[in-house]
Amino acid sequence: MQNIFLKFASLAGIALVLSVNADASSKWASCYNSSQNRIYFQTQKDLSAHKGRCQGRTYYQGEKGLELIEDDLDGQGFPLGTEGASLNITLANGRNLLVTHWTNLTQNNTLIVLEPNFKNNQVRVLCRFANYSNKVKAKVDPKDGRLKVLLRYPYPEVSENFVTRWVECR
Amino acid sequence: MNLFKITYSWFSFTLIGLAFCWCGQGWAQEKSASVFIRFGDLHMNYREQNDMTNSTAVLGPGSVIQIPTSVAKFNEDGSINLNETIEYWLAFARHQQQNLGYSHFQAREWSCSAIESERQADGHCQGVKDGELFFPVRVVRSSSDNHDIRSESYGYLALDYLRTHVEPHRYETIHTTLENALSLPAVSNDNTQILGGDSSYGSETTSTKSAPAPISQPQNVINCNNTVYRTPRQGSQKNSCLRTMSVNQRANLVMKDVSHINQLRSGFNLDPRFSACIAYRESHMHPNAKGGTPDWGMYQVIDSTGRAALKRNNPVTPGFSQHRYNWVQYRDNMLRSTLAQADLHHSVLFEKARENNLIGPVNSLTTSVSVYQTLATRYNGGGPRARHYGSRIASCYRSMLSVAKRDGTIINSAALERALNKALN
Repeated sequence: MQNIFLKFASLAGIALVLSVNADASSKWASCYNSSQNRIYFQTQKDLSAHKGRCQGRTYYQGEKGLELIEDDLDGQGFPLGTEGASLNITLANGRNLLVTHWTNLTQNNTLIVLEPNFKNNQVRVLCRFANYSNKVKAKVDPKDGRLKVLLRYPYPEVSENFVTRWVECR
Repeated sequence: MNLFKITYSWFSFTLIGLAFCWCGQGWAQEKSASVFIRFGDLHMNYREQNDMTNSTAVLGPGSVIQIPTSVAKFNEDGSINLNETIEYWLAFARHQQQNLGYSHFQAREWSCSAIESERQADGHCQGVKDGELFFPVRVVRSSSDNHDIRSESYGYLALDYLRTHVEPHRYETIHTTLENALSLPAVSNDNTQILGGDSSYGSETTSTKSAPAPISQPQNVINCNNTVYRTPRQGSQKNSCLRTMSVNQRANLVMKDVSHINQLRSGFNLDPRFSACIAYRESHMHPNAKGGTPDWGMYQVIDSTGRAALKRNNPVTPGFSQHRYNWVQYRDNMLRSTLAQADLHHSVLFEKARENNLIGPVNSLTTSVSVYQTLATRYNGGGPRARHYGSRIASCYRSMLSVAKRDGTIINSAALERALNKALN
């Protein structure tokens, strides 16, 4: 049943709910509107106002040429952290972030971490990295409480050799 | 005059529609003459009526199908004109759909088959203009070897594929009675050429109206089940499916494949010499290579890119469009088919060229190294690594211009490997 819904949603070009943040103080859900190439961040109020549609005032407009890596059109989706689906993460100070992964049909993906601000309806880009991996992984470093994302990138910069490292997002 | 034409066509379609209703949904009865297609040296996928799942059977040589009599168009010599028949069929079904709200004869694209509301009046899925259409037919005789298709069953067949991709000598159109059609002699199975790379044989490719010459050779099927991890600089020679082939032979294969896809996907005429450089740099032209990202195949396409390219362009390799919405299936089958890999590579570059306004320059057939350098750079993302990549590929491409012709024919074998090596490092 879920697959049918996802397939319908994908084919109709409407949004898929990616995540619901569980933090009580700033509870929000995010969804991707593929026809607009936007990620909407919706509070409970937005959700009821838009009746479940992927719309709202707080959104991140995807860059030209990039599209969000979401589920397959067959609706099967990916297991989190394995194929590049977006990931919610909460910092130690309670800030809620969305780690997103984008493709531009090249040999690397682009990892972008977003933070919505519902007061001014803006979305802040915390960091943006090229990632030569299909996986999305993020963690809060217990030592310093900072967000780190796992990246695979060529090193030296112009080479066929790659390294995989946790890189701070700031 | 236009008004007359419109009125005339409306009446003619409507009258034909009524005729269909009167004679059993348009299928000719036993005694009257009807139109049949008898398969010669040919396999085609067949979908049972009302079965909107992926269950597919195969109609083999000797099968006889019937098409609605009243959509048939004839040449002056009385033979059946399949091109005009298909065009008229589509127009007729569209007219019925628009005026009656339904049509028993509507062709349908399979990818949206589960959601009827998504279908447009012309049978295509919403937002898709040139996906392959399946036409409703009646099987009057099945000679399927592996699948049990009932004779007298109704189902769907990609007839548009037949007219655009299959040589006319491999099938026969006949205007006769059902009785006579059933008594037609069977066709020998000897020397059957299988289209398609997977076990189901293929027929489901995008068939654009401007599709060029029929494809006579079978696609390149390697029958290689393993994927081989590639280490940088070493390629995948040891366990490659093509390890017994020389670099020249592999390059020839790559360029022929890309030329082939250029024919199948109109609108983007990629230079096969450029693709040879990319394939050499990425994998040394080994089709079952697997890189670390992971990236797959001869052109080392990563999952997200492959998935996104399939979303945007229907595969044109016979037998592969059924995997369009399932990347993993496409990928696994692709690793055994160099043609399908070339298809995906072509699709990705088509998109990159579109984004960067390079379709015109590429299609102009000018051999501008700078155009292909830009394309190679964009293909590899951004930053210094991509620029370096672009310059290496451009260097290789420049050398390839004097080594091979644009159609992929090698004219200087001795210099080929030296030219390809410029793509490295």
